[in-house]
This record gives sequence, C-alpha cells and structure tokens, in this order.
Amino acid sequence: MKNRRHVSLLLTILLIVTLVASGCSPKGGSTTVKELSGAGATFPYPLYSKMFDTYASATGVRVNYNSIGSGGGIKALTDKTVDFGASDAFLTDQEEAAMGAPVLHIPTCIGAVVLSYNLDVTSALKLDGTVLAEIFLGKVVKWNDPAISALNPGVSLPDLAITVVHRSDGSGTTSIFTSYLAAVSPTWKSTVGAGKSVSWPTGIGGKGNDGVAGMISQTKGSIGYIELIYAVQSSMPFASLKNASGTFVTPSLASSAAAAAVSLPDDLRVMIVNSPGKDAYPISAFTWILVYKEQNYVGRTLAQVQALKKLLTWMLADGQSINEGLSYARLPAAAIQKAMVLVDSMTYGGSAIP
Amino acid sequence: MTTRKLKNGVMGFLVAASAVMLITVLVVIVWHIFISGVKYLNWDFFTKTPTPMGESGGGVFNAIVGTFLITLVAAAIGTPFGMFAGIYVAEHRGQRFADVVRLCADALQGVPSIVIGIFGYTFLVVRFRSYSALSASVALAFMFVPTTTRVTEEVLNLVPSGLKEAAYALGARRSSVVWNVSIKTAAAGITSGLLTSMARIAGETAPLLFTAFGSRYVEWNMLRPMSALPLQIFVNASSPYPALQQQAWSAAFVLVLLILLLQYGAKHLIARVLRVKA
Amino acid sequence: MAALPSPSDRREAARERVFTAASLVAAVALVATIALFLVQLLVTSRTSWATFGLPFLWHSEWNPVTEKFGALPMIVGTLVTGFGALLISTPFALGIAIFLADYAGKKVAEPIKYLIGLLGGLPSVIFGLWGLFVLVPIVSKFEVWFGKLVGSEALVASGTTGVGLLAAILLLAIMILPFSASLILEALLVVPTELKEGALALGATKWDTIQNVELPYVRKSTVGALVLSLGRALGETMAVTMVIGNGMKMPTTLFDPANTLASAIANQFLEATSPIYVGSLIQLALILFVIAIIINVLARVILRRGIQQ
Repeated sequence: MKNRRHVSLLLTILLIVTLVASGCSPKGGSTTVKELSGAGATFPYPLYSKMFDTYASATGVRVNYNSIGSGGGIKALTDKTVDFGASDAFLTDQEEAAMGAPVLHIPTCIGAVVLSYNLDVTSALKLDGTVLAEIFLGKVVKWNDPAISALNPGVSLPDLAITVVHRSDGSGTTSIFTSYLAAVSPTWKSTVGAGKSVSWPTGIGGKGNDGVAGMISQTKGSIGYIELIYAVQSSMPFASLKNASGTFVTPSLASSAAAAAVSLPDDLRVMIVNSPGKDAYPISAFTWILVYKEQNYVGRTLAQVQALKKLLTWMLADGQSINEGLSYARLPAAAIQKAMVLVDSMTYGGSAIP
Repeated sequence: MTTRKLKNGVMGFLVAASAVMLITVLVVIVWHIFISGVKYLNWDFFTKTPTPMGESGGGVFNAIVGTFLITLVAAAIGTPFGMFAGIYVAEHRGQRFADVVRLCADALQGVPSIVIGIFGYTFLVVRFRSYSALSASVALAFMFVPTTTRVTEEVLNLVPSGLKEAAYALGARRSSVVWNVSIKTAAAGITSGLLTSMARIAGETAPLLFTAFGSRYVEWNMLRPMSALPLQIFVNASSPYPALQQQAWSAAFVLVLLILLLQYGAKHLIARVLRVKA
Repeated sequence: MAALPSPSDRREAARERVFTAASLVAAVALVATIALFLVQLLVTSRTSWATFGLPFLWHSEWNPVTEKFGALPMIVGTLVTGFGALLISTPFALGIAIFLADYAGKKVAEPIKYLIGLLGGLPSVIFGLWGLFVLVPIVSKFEVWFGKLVGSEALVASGTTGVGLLAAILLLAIMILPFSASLILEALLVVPTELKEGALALGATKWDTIQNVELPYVRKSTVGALVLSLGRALGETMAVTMVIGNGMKMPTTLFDPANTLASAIANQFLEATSPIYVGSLIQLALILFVIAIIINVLARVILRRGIQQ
C-alpha cells in the first residue's frame, strides 16, 4: 500500500514539474521574444535552415521553420498559425483574398530549378525548353528519342522509358518550372498551364523538393525538377539548358544571378524565368518570405513583431553572406533596396515599427 | 481412411510451412530494423538536435524530449477520463447507458489516427491559432482513453465480489468500496494497462502531423510546436539525404526501445513495485 | 439512533458525490466525444458537401487545380488495399494460429508468440520506413519483371518505382497479420480440451479435429477477428502513406500509385489552401470515420457474441 502511494506521489510531482516547466519561458525576461515560427517552401529550405541556425547562435532567437511546400506555407499564414510564410510563387488573387489583408513579398535569394535525372550516361545531358515540355507532356517517352539525341551528339542514350517525377504537393518550385514551360511551349501553356499544382499529364509525385530528389535517386530512368542545392548535396547529375539567347547554360549561382539582371517592380513580385541575358540560366527564380503588412492581428505583441522585423532585416543584410555557400545567388543590390523598403512598410496598429 | 490420413499430413505440412514462412518474414523485419538502427547510433544522436539541411551529424534529442513530454501529458489527461469511465461501466454493468458507453469506447478505439489528427487540428490548432504540443497530447488522449476504459472495466470485473460485499457489509459507501477495495486490488492490472496504452500512443504519427507540427529545437513548452520521434522518422524517411535516412532508422530503433521498455514495465515491474499478486 | 451526521460522515458523503459525479462525467464525455467528432467533421467539411453533395462519393476526379473533387479514387484505394491485405494475410494468420494452438510445443510457441506480439506493437511509421526502403525495391523488381513477362510497357513503366497499390497491400498484410493471428489464437485456446480429446479418441486425425471441432467452435470469433483486422487495415495511415505513391488519379492496375482515404489526407492536408480543398479532405475524413465506426462496432458485436458462446 505504502509503495503505491509513494509511486503515485512521485508521478504526480513529475507531472506538475513538467507542466510548470512548460509554462516557464527559458532563460531571460518575459518581454524578450525567443522564438519565431515559419512554414513553407522547400526550395530555399537548405538555405533557411543554415540561416536560422546562424541567427540562433548570433542572437539566441530560434526560428522554427517547417518545410512543407509553398502551398503549406500560404495556408499556415492564412490560418495565422505562423509568424511568416515562405513561397516561391507569389500569391494568386484568390489566395490574397483569403488572407484578408495585404501581404508583403520579401525576397531572400535567387535559386535555380534544375532538371535532375537518374541515368547511366558519360556526360551531363543537354536539354532545351521544347524537349522538356514534350517529356513532361508525355510525348517523348524514351531516353533514346531522336529529340534528345539531337541535343546530345556523341552521347549514347539507353533504350529506357522516361519516368517523370513531379511534385505531389502545392509547390512554388512547380510554379516556377511550369511558368518556364508555359513560356517556352505554347502547347504546355494551353493544355496544362502554370501554377503551384497542375494536372500533370504523366509521371509520379514526390513530396517536397526532398521527396522528388529521393524518388529520382531511387528510380532508374527518371527525370524531375528540383532546386540546385538538393541535386548538389545528393550528388545527383543535372542538365544544362538552352536559354533564350540560344546558349547552353549550366545552372550555378553565377548563371542564376545573371537571370536577375532585369528591371524589378517595387513589390518584387516577378518571375525571372526564361531571362534574356546571355549567361542567364533559364529556370532561375526568387523565393519570398510572406508577412502581413499590418502585424497587429490575433493579439500579436509588439515584441514579437519587432523580432520578426529584425529577422527579416538580418536576412537581407548579414544573412546574404550564407547564400553563395549553398549555391543560392545573393540578391542584387536593387532587390535588397526595394526589399528593405517593403520591410520598413510593415506596421503595427497602423504606425511604423520602432 | 487413408485420404483422411493424407489430408492430415498435407494440412499439417501446410500449417507448419505457413508458420515457418511467416516467422522468417517477421524475424527478417525485426532483425533489419535492429541492425539498421544500431549501426548509426552514437552519443551525438541522443544529445544533439538536427543540423542544417545537408550537413552531417546531429541527433534527435529534440524528438526524444518531445515524445516523452507529449506522451506523458496525453496519459495524464486521458487517465482520469479513462479510469472513471471504466469505473462507471463496471459499476453500472447491465444498464443500458453503460452499454452505450462501452460501445462508444469501442467506437472511439476504432477511429483512424488521421481522423483524430484532423479533429485536433480543426478543434484546437485553428481555434488557438497555434500548433502546439498540448493539442497533440489532447489528440493522443482521445486514443488513450478507450483502451484505458476497457482495461479498467475488465480488471474491475475480476475483483472478487466477496471482497466488495464484505466492504459494504461494514458500512462503506459505494465510492469507498470502489476506490479502496476494487481499485486497490486491481491497481496492478490498471497500471499495466496504462503503460500499454502509453506504449501505443508513443508510436503514433498521424495525430501529430497537424498538431505538434515538429520543431528543430528542444522544446519544453507544451504550448509551442514540438518534435517527436515518430514525426522525425516520417520526415527523415522522405528525404533524399542518406544521413537523414540513417537517422530515421536510429530514431526508429530508439522508439522501439522506448515502447519495449513501457511494455516490459507493464508486465513485470508494476507487480513487483506494488507488491501485489500479479 | 438517529444521530446528526459527524464531520467525517459529511466528508464521506461529499467524497461519494464527487466520485459519482466524476464517473458519470467521464462516461458522458466518452459518449459526447463520438458525437462531437461527427459534428465537427460535418461542420468543417460543409464547403465540400454543400458544393458536391452525395455524388462526391462516386466522382472519380480529384483535381486540386480545377477544384473538382470526388472521393471514388480514394474509396477504391482504401477498399482494394484493405480487402487485399485481408485476403493475403488470413490464410497465414489461420495457419500460424493453428500451428501455435495445436502443433507447437511450449518451447517453440513462447518465442514465436513474443515475436508476434513485438511486431504487432510496432508503430505504423516504422513499418512505413521498412516498407519504403526494403519492401518497395523488392516489389519494384518484381513488377518490372512481371511487366516484361507479360510484355506490357505500361506495367513496366508504373512498376519502376515500386510504390503503389501492390506495395501497400503487401505491407498492410504484414501489419495486420500479428493482430488477427493473436485474436484467432486466443479463440482457439478457449476450445475445451474435452472436445478435442473426444474427437481424437473416436479416431479422428489431428487435422480432422481442427477442421471439424475447433474451427467451427471459433467461427464467430474468427470472423470477428477478421472484421476487426479489416477495420484496422482500412484506417491504417502512415505505413500506407509512405508506400502507396500518392496518386491523384483512379488507379487502373495494382502497380499504379494510388491513395487511400487516410493517405490522401496525410499527404495533402497541410497545404490545401482553398476552403473547398480543405473541406473535401475533411469530407474524406468523415467518410473514413463512418466506415471505421461501423466496421469496428460490427466486429466487437460479433466478437462479444463469440466469446459468450
């Protein structure tokens, strides 16, 4: 009998300690914000995870980012369950309406969507927009199709079926890729179109950039579109693409930076696919952090909003030094300038944030 | 006569063969999980949090803490409901409403974990505008309660009625009889049932997907998103990085160890600690 | 003597009231929970059933882009994987239960029972992990070989990845096997030894006894166990999600990627942005909820009747 009482007492104490500990904030006063949360794009996730890690060491503020795809990020921000969302596709009119309030798009880097494949070939493949569209439309089904061989003289291509891998979730990367296909293929534009989720004519779906990369690496004869760093970190080959000026360009941070050398609108909502530059990689893109312009919603504290603003400012300044180490291009000066203006335009209760 | 003998032999062979096939498959699976999991265990794995994407090393300390907290709190929430419901059904045996309660417990037990997760999301996460470990614990509590109710009821029914009648004869009230006689006698069985239920919910993933959400950091605050071993396994399994996949196996190994520990505790330790006849 | 209630009597009376109230509250809460689930699912999915109505159940297009949703591909996926898993696992479950009940000695039976218990307690996500990295490559090899054997390019193509209905069926079969095997075993162990010995004394062979005495005795329990396993298979989420391939279209062969009601939700819920998309996914949860409750209650009713026999 006594033992049982001791045991239940012990368990009760343990439980109370747990609950009390959870109520306490970790070291520091009650007004210091220690954590921010975000969700969204997998496209910049390798960069963000490194950035936030560095930011935590530097300032002690932890940023909890969940990489669930641009669609997920937009939904989380709409439901107001996170401080910021992240997306490689800017909001559609419908999505903005669902948000109910103006949303700012703050770019953080430039990345490249590469075509990675699983094939035993001796050198890197060369592809162009037309052939890509045909592959993803399901019209070109074998690797040794003449259309592909024509672009790769001297490379022996196997008689193997092409397995297309695309995204199964709502993806900004898909939005970038399909915008490119729509720009280079009228057939694609009219039959499938561009967007975060499209009705793919063929292929299998992977979840997130990592899911697609995983599927490509496990399936012989597959081809899919992923962000550059995913291919690099998994040691997977990727194709060079013929750009709008007719040169075959290998995706790299230099070629994606070259793609951003265009005039940028003030709200920075622009697709830079199929850029006209000579050295531009044709499927380059910005990725954005999304925040509400008016930050006083659902009882957010000023401290929380200030912490968010500090994070964004850091990402546009010191944070940019992390980009190139992970093959993301830095934002051009013009973009940073306009982005800072956007960040400063965030308000709390209608007035600027101190 | 001989056809029957032949049939006997053939069927005996088939039964043994199916058993052998099955056991081989089971052994292979368990062995594989064991081997893959142990291979990548190191001290860092238990004590560190995940590294930035693509970098090697790191561990799942955040997930281990998360699993402990979420499971404990879920059990804490679910135990009183489960026990008292079980007491009600045992005490009012034969009455219509008690049957309804038992039926509802059975029904709740059969609700798929993903539906529980959806409920947790729409009921708690959206309402409070935040993913939180607490909403995950509440969702898991829904899964904890039915098994607890059933175990409590079954164990209480095993209490010899002679004990209860003697207590009533001495003038004890009903609650006293139940609490001081029935529950105390059944304590070992009930606690054992609690541990088994805990083992079950510790491995659940679907209810956590939309409630706990996951976090790369060690989190002690129940009101914030939190990681957990099953979540970490799921996320890592879909990544293309071999390092993360390896961590998934190791995390799986740790999770299995935890569950085994709880089940072992349920079977052996409880009887010993409480010094009650098992 | 009618004495005034002493302080301790009053305390006891108060404790009694609290106790009675607590157990009643808990009991009512349990019942209310089921109702609450149903109501909440109905309310949060109304954007979907208000738009699509009953035809949602048999529409075969699930298209987040055009926002046309129909549950048929998922319902088909759920039924095919559930019944397929049941079909494959039942003979083995029976086989191993009979083996443990009638053929195996104690030394052999105990470790096997432990192994089965161990596997039955493994979390779904771990089965998914094993399924993804071990089962799927094997299935892929088989599917490609089979496709080449029958000369079908389409089968070879859909079999290349390995994920799909077949992988899910096999994984599910392995998952529900320990469950149904232990339930059937439990039932077999209750068969009175006098019945068995009586039959053997009359000259029946071992298998005769099994077929004509034991199995009929446990028929209700076995059916209940199988129905319960089916319910488990139908609601299984994580393992299936990881190997079924998340196909949005209606699968045409067993090699095709597909979705079950559960896996569709797990795969898509976090990023469904539009209210109709979210509502449709929740409606899938509602359908799953109703199916699971019906099957589970049915199984328990059968099982309780079987045990009471």
